[in-house]
Amino acid sequence: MRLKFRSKIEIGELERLIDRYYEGLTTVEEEKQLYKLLTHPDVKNGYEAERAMLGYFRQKNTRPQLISIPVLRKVAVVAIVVMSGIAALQLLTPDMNATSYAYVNGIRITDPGRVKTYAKVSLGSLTNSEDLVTKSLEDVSSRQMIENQLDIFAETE
Amino acid sequence: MKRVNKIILILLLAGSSLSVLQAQKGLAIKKVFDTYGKSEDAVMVEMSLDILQGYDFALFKSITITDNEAAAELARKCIAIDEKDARKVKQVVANGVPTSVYLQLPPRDNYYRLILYNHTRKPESVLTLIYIESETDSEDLLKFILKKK
Repeated sequence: MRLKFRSKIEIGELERLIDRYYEGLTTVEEEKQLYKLLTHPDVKNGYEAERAMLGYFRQKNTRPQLISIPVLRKVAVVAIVVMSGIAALQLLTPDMNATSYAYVNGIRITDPGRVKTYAKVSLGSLTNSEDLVTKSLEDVSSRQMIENQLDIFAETE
Repeated sequence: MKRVNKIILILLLAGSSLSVLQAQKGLAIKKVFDTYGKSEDAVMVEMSLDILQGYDFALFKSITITDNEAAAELARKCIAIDEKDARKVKQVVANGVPTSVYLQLPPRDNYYRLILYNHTRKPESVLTLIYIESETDSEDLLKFILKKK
């Protein structure tokens, strides 16, 4: 509830409650209302005695810095959404964090044995290139190849 | 509030970085893995230390693509780019087209790095691209790999 002290009626209400307080006639509800009125920022001057009596000065000086509830709520919502997203990702794709995997025709495989097998297959294909180099070198050094090439010239004679 | 924002930002970054981390970061061949890794004509393998214990590799990544000339062309282009930074290059060229390439890249983070490429056309077009990180010297590693046949 937001209080306004611009009207004399509200100041009058404060005075009335103070009088009742000194007379010991205030109810619990009235003392709560008096607390609200005395601690309102618009009531800056005066009523120090009353504030001191109710211990409000100390409360004001040591008042902790509060985070407003709407902001706190927004932060909580964002945190919950982020955490839920991460949790859902973990649940829906349980092996996404596996650091070793294979994709075979678009299907993800994380079984270490099968992953190793596919790795070996891909390594196996490299031997072809080595064979090719070896074969090329063999061809170059092959006496048969040289003879074949010389034969070409022989035919032209 | 600022602290809360920072925590949320860190959480978001940590989550996204899991999927972004790529070992072959900075290399052109990454594009081949990213483009064709999950396609239906490909087999892509990535093995890291969790199952490479006992091997000489710290990271092994390979892709084998069947009957895909566009992929082969992209791979060749990417290899040509990575070749510029290579310490050592070995290649076999057939009819003007590289069919086998071996690139020894400068070490990074104490790991030797290798790129191996092979493209056979018979009986069918099969492209194989392999990226390896190892603590073992690249030459020894290559001998080790080829000895495995």
